[in-house]
This record gives sequence, structure tokens and C-alpha cells, in this order.
Amino acid sequence: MTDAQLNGRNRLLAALTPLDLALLAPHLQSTRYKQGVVLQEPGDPIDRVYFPESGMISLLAVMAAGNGVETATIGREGVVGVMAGLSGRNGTGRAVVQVGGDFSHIAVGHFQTAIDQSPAMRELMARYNDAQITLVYQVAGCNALHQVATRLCRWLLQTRDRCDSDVIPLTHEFLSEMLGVQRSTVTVLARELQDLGLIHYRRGRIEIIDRGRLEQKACECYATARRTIDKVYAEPET
Amino acid sequence: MMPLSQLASSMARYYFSLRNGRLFDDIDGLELPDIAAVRAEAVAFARDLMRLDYDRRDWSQWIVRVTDENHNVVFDLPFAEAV
Repeated sequence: MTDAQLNGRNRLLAALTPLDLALLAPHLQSTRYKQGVVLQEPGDPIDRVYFPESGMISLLAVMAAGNGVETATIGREGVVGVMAGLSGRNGTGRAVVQVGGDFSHIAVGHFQTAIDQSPAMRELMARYNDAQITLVYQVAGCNALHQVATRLCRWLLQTRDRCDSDVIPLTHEFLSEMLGVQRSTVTVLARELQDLGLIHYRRGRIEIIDRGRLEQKACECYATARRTIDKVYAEPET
Repeated sequence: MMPLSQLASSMARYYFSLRNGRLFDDIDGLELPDIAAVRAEAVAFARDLMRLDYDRRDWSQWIVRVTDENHNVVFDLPFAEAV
């Protein structure tokens, strides 16, 4: 991929110095994936590292019975599979494209070679990886302690940030899986938010109308998660 | 009568509304394969609401009303039967 093709929408790639980016660029490819494509199964070796340019990937913890629950969503602020580059480990969850879009990716071998040549890039990837682990802790607490309506607000805002659009294509199935409630319950919760004038909702297409009030109604985890990601990209304190 | 092959894959849209305890009209509906799946959704829906609305004690008036594409009532499920 040439520099001209790298559109710089992925925040991690955009944060790299030109020299570091040049280590990755010759091996980066971009693919458009549709909703529902499985990029990674738990336990399989990770062969690619994904940098979303648009769209959103969700990581699910998969139980023995085959059902899963959301542990994280990753958009253009992050990367999927970075653990493999840092440690060569296998994948821990299932990675599914939840909102279709363009995804830059690189073979894990090339990624490892690149970060071996740049301590600064390794440091940035490690900081992101630490932040991702912090977010998973946060989601575990949120799932157990926070009311479902406030969790719905958080997921809507988070998906809005990931996709950079007030119109978010989330299905009933996706929301019910994330929140651990029935699809009919999602309908009731979404209608409540619509009656308050916060969103417009119709059959799996949600439009955020009043982002400010939606933020007030969301649980604290939305703001916490934003701060955690922003810290990855903040200039180191001197 | 519908041929069996068609019956096996006949997804239909059902609407899950609330009556009595609270008025809620479902205008979105869900595609479901058979009546067993419809009943399972209704029971789990009632349980969800009872689980999520911690403060409410009395659900005796509440009903899930399931209707089909033609607005015909398929069945009413009192919350008391979903416990």
C-alpha cells in the first residue's frame, strides 16, 4: 500500500511517525468487510492484525455452548490482534465485523518485524493493549452493576464514536446480545429513548438526535472509556 | 394446506406488545420460525421486564399481547404465567 492509499482514518496508524509508518506501509492491505464476517475464532493463531479505517469489530467471549457475550468493540481508534504482535499468542475471543467498513490489515509476521525495529511503535502498541484490557475490566463491571437502559445509551454513543456517524446500523440481534436481553426488550428500551427525543429508531436503524442528553443518560463507563483511549494518544507527561 | 417443505422455512413477523399494566404497541416486530419460538420470546420478554424493573412488586395486571402481520391476536401471556 502506498502512502497515498493510506487514508489516515485509523487513529493508531495516524499516530505513528512517518518513519514508523513506512515500516508497516509496504505490507498493509485494505479490505472492505460486510457485517457478520468472522475475522478470528478463539484459540486460533492470529495471522493478521487489523486496523479499522471505518466500521467496527466486536470481540466476543464464546462459551462452551456456543453463545457469546460482548467484551469490547473496536473502531478506527484501535487495532485488533495487537497482542499477537507483542507476544505471539493465540486469539482469546471471536472477532466479528459488527458494522461493515474498510479495514487495513497486515500479516502478523510483518507486524512483528516492524515493531522489533521501532521501540516507539512497540511502546504505542503496548499502551493501546493495556488500555484495551482496562476497557474489558470496565465492561465486566458495567454488565454486572449498571442498569440496562444506561448501558444501551453507552453502546449507542460508543458505536457512534466508532463509526463517526449519528446514524448507526445496529440490529436487534446485536443489541440484545450486547445487553443480554430479549429482542422485544430492546424494542421497549429504544422506544423509551425515542419518546424522550434522544434517538429515532426503526427496525435496526438508529439515529442519534440529541447526543448531549444521551450522554447524560449513559452510565459513567462511556466517559471513562473515552478517557482511557484518549490517554493512549496523549503526549507523555514531562 | 401449506406443503411441509414451505412450512419448515416459513418465517413470519410477530409483534410483542404490552397491555393493562402498561400500554406499549410494538410496530417493529420480529421474524420468527414457529409458534414455539414466539411463545419462548413472549415468556423471556416478560421475565426480562420483571427482572429489569427492580422496584415494581405487582405484575398481576401485566400482559404480553402477541399479534401477527394482520393484527390478529395470536395469544395473550399474563406475566404471572411467565414466572
